[in-house]
Amino acid sequence: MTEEEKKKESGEISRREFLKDAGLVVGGAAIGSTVLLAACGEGEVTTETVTTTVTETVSKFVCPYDGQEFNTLSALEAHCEAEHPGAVIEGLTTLTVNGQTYVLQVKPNWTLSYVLREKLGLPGTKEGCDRGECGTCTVIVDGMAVYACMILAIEADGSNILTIEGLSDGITLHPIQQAFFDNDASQCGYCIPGYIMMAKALLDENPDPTFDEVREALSGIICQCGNTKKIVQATLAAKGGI
Amino acid sequence: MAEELSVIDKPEQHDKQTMAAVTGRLDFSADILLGKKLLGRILGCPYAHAKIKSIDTSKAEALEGVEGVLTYKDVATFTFLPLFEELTRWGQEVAVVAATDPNIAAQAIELIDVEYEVLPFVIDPDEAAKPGATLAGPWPESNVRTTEILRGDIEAGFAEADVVFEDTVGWTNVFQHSTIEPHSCVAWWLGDELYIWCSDQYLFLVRQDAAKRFGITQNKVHVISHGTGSGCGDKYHGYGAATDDRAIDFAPALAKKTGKPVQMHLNRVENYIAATHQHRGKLDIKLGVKNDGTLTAIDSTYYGDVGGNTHLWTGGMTLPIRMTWNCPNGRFTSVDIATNSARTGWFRCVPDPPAVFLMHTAMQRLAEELGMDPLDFMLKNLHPIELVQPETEKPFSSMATAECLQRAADAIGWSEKWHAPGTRTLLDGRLHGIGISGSVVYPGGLSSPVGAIVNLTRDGTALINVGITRVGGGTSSAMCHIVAETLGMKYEDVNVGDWGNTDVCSDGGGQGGSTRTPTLGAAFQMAAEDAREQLFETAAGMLGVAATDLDASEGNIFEKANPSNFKTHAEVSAKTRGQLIGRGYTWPKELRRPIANFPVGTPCEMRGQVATAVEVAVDPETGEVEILNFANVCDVGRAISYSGCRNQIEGCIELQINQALFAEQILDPGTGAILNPSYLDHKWTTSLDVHQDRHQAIIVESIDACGPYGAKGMGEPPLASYVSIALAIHNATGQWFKQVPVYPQRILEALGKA
Repeated sequence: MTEEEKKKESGEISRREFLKDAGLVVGGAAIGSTVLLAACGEGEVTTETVTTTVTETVSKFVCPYDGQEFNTLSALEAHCEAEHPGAVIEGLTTLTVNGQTYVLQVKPNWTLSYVLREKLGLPGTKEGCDRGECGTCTVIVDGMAVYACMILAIEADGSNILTIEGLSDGITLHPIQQAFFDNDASQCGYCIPGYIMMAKALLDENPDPTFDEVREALSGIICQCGNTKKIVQATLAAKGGI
Repeated sequence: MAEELSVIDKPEQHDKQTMAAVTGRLDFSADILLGKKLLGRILGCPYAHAKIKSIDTSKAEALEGVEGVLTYKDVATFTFLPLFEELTRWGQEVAVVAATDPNIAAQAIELIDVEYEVLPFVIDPDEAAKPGATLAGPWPESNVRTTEILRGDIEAGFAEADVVFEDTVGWTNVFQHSTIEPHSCVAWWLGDELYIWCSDQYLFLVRQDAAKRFGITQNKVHVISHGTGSGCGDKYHGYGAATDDRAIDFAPALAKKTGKPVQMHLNRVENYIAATHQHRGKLDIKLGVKNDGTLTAIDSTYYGDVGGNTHLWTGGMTLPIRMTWNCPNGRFTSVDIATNSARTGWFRCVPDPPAVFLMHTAMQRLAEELGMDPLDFMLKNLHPIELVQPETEKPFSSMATAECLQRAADAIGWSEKWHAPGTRTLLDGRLHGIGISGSVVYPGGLSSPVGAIVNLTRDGTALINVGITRVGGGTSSAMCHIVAETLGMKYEDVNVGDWGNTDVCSDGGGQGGSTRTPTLGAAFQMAAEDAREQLFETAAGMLGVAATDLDASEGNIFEKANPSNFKTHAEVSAKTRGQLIGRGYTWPKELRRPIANFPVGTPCEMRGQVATAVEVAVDPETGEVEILNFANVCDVGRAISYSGCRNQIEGCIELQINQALFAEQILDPGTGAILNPSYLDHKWTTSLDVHQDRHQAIIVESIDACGPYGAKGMGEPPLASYVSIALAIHNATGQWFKQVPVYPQRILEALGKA
C-alpha cells in the first residue's frame, strides 16, 4: 500500500487532495467551475457521445437491505444478485440532462434542483428559495420551463432536461446568452441562468414575442437587483439571433 | 469642461465577468464541493423573548445522517458563536444541525426538544419608547438612546421665521433586503487552516473575524467569494453578533465540530428570519421659513426602531437632512429605540431612503402651505458648493443636487405637467400626479484602506486581481477601465485574473456605502501610475528621450512633442528588466483640484447626489397606481464603467417602486413573529410589475474633485429617493401619505373609500 493509499484508508487527506477536491483555483470563475465539475464526479464522465449512459456519478448506489454503498449500479446489482436474490432496488431514476443519460438512485424526497446540483455536479442551476417563488432554478424539462426546486427527481424519471450548462460549450455562446452578454443583462448574476432558460422556453414556443409577452413570460423569476429592463431587452434582442 | 478620456465612460465596453454569468459558470459559494458536504439547517425560537430552560438534542443526533448539532452549550468551545441561552427576538437561532442531506437536517430540527421560559417583550417602538416599558435591549434604564447635534442658534432661527411648520411623518416599513442568493457559506478545515467560501461584501473582514474567533492567524484563513448574489448591506459579516451573517457564523463551527465540509445555504424562510432588516423610522419635524421660502431653522427628531441591534446608530439618519439643506440653525436629534423586533442592519443606501422619505414629505407639505412649486422650494434651499458642511466644516468635493433635480424635472416635463394636488383627472377617470425629490446622500465616498497590484505581462497587457466579490457587477471592470486609462492601454488589454480571493488578491475593502469605485479605483490608479513610471523608464531608453517627456495612449508609448516617435506597450514590455508590478493604495479624502475657494489638499466631504421625478396615474376606484414615467438621476462624478453605472440606476428604479408600493415585512404585534417570510408575501416586483420602457436612467457627471478621474461611488445613491412616488400619488389624490408602502388600501382609505 502506498503512502497515499494508506492515508486514504485512514481517512486522512493530503493538502494536494484537499485542494483538488475543493476545486480551489486562482484562475477565476470560468476555470474554477470547470475544475469544480471535474472534481465532483467520482468517475470519468464521458461527454463525447451524447447518448452515453453514465452510471458513475457522485450519487452512490446503496443496497436497500444492508446499506452497503457502491460506486456503480452494476456493482450494486451484482451484490444484490449474490446476497439478496430477488431484491428490488428502489429509487432508480433515469435523467437525460444536456443530452447525457444518467441512471441514479435517488431518495423520494430529493428535488430535481438538489439532484442536478449535488448529485450530477451541475451548479449552474441556482437555488434562491427552495419553495417555488424566485425562479432562479428554472430548467427546461421535456420542452417546458419548470422550477427545479418544485419537482422531485423521481417525478422527472425518463425526462429530457436542459440546464444552462447544456446551452453552450462556454466558447461559442448560445444566441440568448450572447444577447444577455451584449445587453449587460447581469448584475449579481445569480438569477441569470434561470432567466436564460425561461427565455429559451419562451422563444422555442413563440419565436417572435412582443415586449409585453416577454415581460409576462419572464415574470416568474425575480431579479432582486432590479435589472429586468436589460433582461427583457436581451430576450427581445435574442429573438433575431435564433 | 472635463478632459476627454480614451477608455473610461464608453457605453460599448462590457463587464468583464458577464461571460461567466451567462454561461452559468459564475461560481457562488454553494457551488463548491458538490455532493461532498454536509448541509445545515436552523432551529428558530418561537417567542419574541424567552430563556431556554432545557434543550435536548439527543433524538436529533441519533437520526441517521445527522453529523453535528450546535446549541448555546457549545459556545464555550468557540471564541464566539451567536447561540444564546436567552433569546430576544422571534426566530432567533436556538440550534443548528448539519446532516448528509437537506431533508434529514430539516427532520432533525423537528426532533430537538426545547423547553422555554417565556419572558415579556415589546414590539411596538412607540410603546417601547415609553418610560417603564419592558426592556428589550442592553441599555440599563430604558429602550431609548438619544443623541443630539446642534447648529447655529435654533431659537433665533425660529424667531426669524415668518411661518413655523410642524409635522410628524412615519413610520416607514420594516423591509428585508431579499437578496436573491440567500445567506450562504461553505467551510472546511485542513488541520488548523480554514477554508471559507462565502457570499459576503467584505471578504478581508471575514478573514479577520474568523482568525479571531478560532485563534488562528489570518494567513491560515482562506476566503473565496467569486459570486455574491446581491448583498445590499445584508451580507456584511464581522461587525459583531447583531449584524453578522448567520451562514458564516455557523458553517465554520459545524465544520470544526464534524471534521467535514459544511454548507449553510439558508432557504428563503430561514433567510427572511435570520437576515437583517431595514429598520423603520419616524420623524418629528419643525421647520422655520420666511415667506419667500428661505429656511431659517430645522428642528428634527428621528426615531429609529433598531430592534435588537443596538449598534445601529440612527443618528446617521439625520445626515441627508443636514447635508442637503442650507439652513444655518438646527437641532438634529436621533432616538434609537430597542425592541424585540426582527434583526436590523444596514440596508443599501444606509440611512437615506427612510430619512429622505420623511423629510421630503414634510418639506413639500410646507411648500404647499407657502403656495410654492416644490421644485422651486427645493432649489432655493439646497446646500451650495461654496459653503462647508456646517458640522464637519469641510467642503463637498462635488455638489450636483440642483443639476440632478433639474435633469429629473426636464425628463418628465415637470414645468408643463405641474398642477395643484388633486386637480387633474385623465380621460379614463384616473387621477394624474407628479412628484419630485432630490438629496445629498450618505454613500458615495472614499472609505477603508485598501491595496492594489497591477501586473504587467511581457506582451504589453495587464492583469489585475481584485480583492472584492462580484456583488453588483461592474466594479472589477471599473478597475480595468482605470488601469487601462492610466497605462494608456486599450480596455481589452487589461483583464481580471482572480477576484474575491483573499489568498491572491490585495485587500479590496468593504463593499458598502458605495465606496469601491472611488476607494479601490484610487488604489488601482496609483498602482497603474507606478507601473507606468517603470514602463516609461525602459521606453525612455528605447526612444532616446527623458521619461518625463513620454505619454501613453491606445497601446502606444510616445514622445509628447513628437507622437510619431513611439513604441508599443508590447515592444517596451518585452525589454523591461522582468515582469513589472505596480503598487497602489487609496488616497486621502481631500480635494485634488480646487473647488470654489478651497485649495487642493483641503479635507472634504464626498457624497452622492440624486434626484427622481415620477409621473403616475391613480385609479380612485381600486387604489391601483400605474407609473407613467420615472426619471432616476444620479451624479456619478464620472462614469468609469458606463454600463455598470446605467445598470445600477435602472435597477434602483425597480427597487424604489418595490419599496414605495409593494414590499414590507409584517411583524405580528402580539407575538413578534414575522408573518410573511417569503418573496410572494413580503412582495417583490417582477418584470410584469414595472414598465421598463418608461424608466429613464440619467447619469450626471460632476467630475468629483477627490475621486479617481472624478468618479464617486454610485451603487446605492440612486435608491434613495423613492419618496417621489408617494409625492406623485399625493399630487394625484390631494392626500398625504406618511407611511410606505403606499398600497391600494392606504390610498382608498385616504380617499374615504375603504
